[in-house]
Amino acid sequence: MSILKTFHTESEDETLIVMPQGSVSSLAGDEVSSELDELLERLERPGPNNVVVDFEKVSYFGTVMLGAMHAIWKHVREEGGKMVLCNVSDMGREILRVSGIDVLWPVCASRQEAIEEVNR
Amino acid sequence: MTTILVVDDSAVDRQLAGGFLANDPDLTVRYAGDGAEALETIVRKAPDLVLTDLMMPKIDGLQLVAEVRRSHPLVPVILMTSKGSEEIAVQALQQGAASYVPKRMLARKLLSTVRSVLAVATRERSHSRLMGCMTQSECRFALENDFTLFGPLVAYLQEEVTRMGLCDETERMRIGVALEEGLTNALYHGNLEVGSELRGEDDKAYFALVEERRRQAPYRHRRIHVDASLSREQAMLRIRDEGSGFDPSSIPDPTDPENLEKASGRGVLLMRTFMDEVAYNEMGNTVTMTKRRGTNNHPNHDEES
Amino acid sequence: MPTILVVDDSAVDRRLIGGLLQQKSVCTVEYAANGVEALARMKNVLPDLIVTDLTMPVMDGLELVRKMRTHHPDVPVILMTAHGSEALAVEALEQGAASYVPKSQLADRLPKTTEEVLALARAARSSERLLGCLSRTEFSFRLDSDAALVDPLVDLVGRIVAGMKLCDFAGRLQIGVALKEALLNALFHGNLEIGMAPSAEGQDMLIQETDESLVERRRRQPPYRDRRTYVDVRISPDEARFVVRDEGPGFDVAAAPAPGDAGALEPERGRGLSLMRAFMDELTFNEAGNEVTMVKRRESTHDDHPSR
Repeated sequence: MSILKTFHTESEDETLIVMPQGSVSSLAGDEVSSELDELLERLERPGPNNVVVDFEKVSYFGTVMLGAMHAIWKHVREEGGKMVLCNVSDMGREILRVSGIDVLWPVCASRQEAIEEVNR
Repeated sequence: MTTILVVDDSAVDRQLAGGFLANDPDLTVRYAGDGAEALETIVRKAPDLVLTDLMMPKIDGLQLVAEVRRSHPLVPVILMTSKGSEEIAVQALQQGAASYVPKRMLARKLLSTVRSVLAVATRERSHSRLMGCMTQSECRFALENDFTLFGPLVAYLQEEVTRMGLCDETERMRIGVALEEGLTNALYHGNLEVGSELRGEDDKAYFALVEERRRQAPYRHRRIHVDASLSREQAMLRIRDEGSGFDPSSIPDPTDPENLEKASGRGVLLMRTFMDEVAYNEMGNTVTMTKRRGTNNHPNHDEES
Repeated sequence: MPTILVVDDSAVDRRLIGGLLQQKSVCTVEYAANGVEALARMKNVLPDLIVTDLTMPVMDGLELVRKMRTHHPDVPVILMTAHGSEALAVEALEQGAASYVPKSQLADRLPKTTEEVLALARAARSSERLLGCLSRTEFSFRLDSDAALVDPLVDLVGRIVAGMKLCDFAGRLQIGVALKEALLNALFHGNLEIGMAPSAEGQDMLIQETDESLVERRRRQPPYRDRRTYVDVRISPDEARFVVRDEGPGFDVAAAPAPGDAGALEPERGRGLSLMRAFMDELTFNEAGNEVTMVKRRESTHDDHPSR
């Protein structure tokens, strides 16, 4: 487990679990950037190519978070993996739907479901 | 007449605490034998202060503190601690208990602790009442190009809007999202003039450019001006950047599948969805967002884009 | 990258804790063997967080917490407690420690607690900086004739004036006194038309309202009952401006004793007015005498920074 300021990560089976810890936009741009870098580096290493993003700690978010997820997703896609979201609040779902980005990533109700979904 | 509720499963301890409190003629003491009884009493007629033991059957002191905080946030809870209950006391203090008195020091410290906590609580209650008398407020900020200020600013404005009774918990979150988007746009696109085309293409280059611009003139000197005008009927939030503006009608529609990969436009879309009104000035460097009381903005309308 | 200062008299424990912190998060760790050493280090550079043992020779954790609160209140302290010293932990929390972790649960709880406390400290610092960016704030109130509303309003104004760094402590006190006089005048002499303008002693009398006091009776009777006091507060880094308007019949401003007159300091309207005149840079009434405007400007002798 790694405690980065914004994105905590865990590995479970073949899946990398990313847990945003709160509002992303209130961090300095270069901090988000370096945390993302670390995350993406981990994806480039041999190992899990599938990612589950767990939103348990985040009740709402904006385009800065969406941008970070997009960056993660691009790498996942390049490596031939899948990305699934879970524990998204009602407000979070609304944001995903309204911004039209819900078509990209399936949303599951629980982490367990998400792990199963991503490894299918 | 100030009412204190003493909660303890030991009759002897209840009497002891009650006895010390009775020395003050302004205090009336009521009793409960455990947490459940205490909660019933509080719901029926809230006391001015709760004094509670920690180790009790059914509902213990820790749960009582959490529950009172939730249902009666203006009623303070003081803990009575004894040997062996310190770990729970610490948790209870972190959960919101106002203070504590070790049982062996009741004689010396109970009355003074109760009095000082009551004084603070009275101040808090009066403050709440005063806020209920507020009819209008306006505040103006001039922010540097610093992302770390967004979190506190959004929290501050959310607090102001809530205090005016303009929104519930959900609407409060919505306003938060809209504000963050407005501020983010003002910073990246407005003051630093970093277009969003780079975002999504090459994030590393994007963040590097952002950092570079933050240090360079003229970007470095630019400010974000935030003006929040609140009445009991509406909140008007204006964000102005010092960049060269843009053409608001030129924003691509992010829901168009062609634009899915692009980052631009999504922020404005979120703003329009969560506020009742979003308007740009002609130059495109000032956005005014309005939220009215009582409107529950459901973004299910297809006609809204 | 945050710097964490680990204070523990056991060298083994210091290494252990430092290692744990660096393994779990990105940070720089520094060490001290007791409270005195810790404070000495802080003379040069402040850490972002202190993690300290409770029982140490020379200066223990509790004393360190106390000293930190006095000298470096912005640096949070996390206490580590050995089994049996929980009572001291409670005391330390009361004295201002940010959190505590039992030594038996370090691996489980320290990294997370550290993150939480650092995040809170960061947020507090940002809030302070945010207030520094406030260029203007304005509030309007509509008050009942209730003395209990006066102190919170004066407090609120005091906090904002302090945040805007408009004047020093003495200046804030003066603003508070003048504002309080204006409010009490409006509430009681203006709206309730109660003859004796309250001084501080009179106010106490009014606040201890007994059932049959004149105040209570008037508050229930029309037209007094329906009158309100309107207060407008406008604060910028250059000045604080207050407008207090009541709905009473007003008074003859010209007839009030002028400052320096024999009756000027008597506990009637005269004294209140004298205080307001003395403490504010500008004091004007409307013709009817039921609206007063008071202005206090930034003192030129006060720390003069160009207004933002």
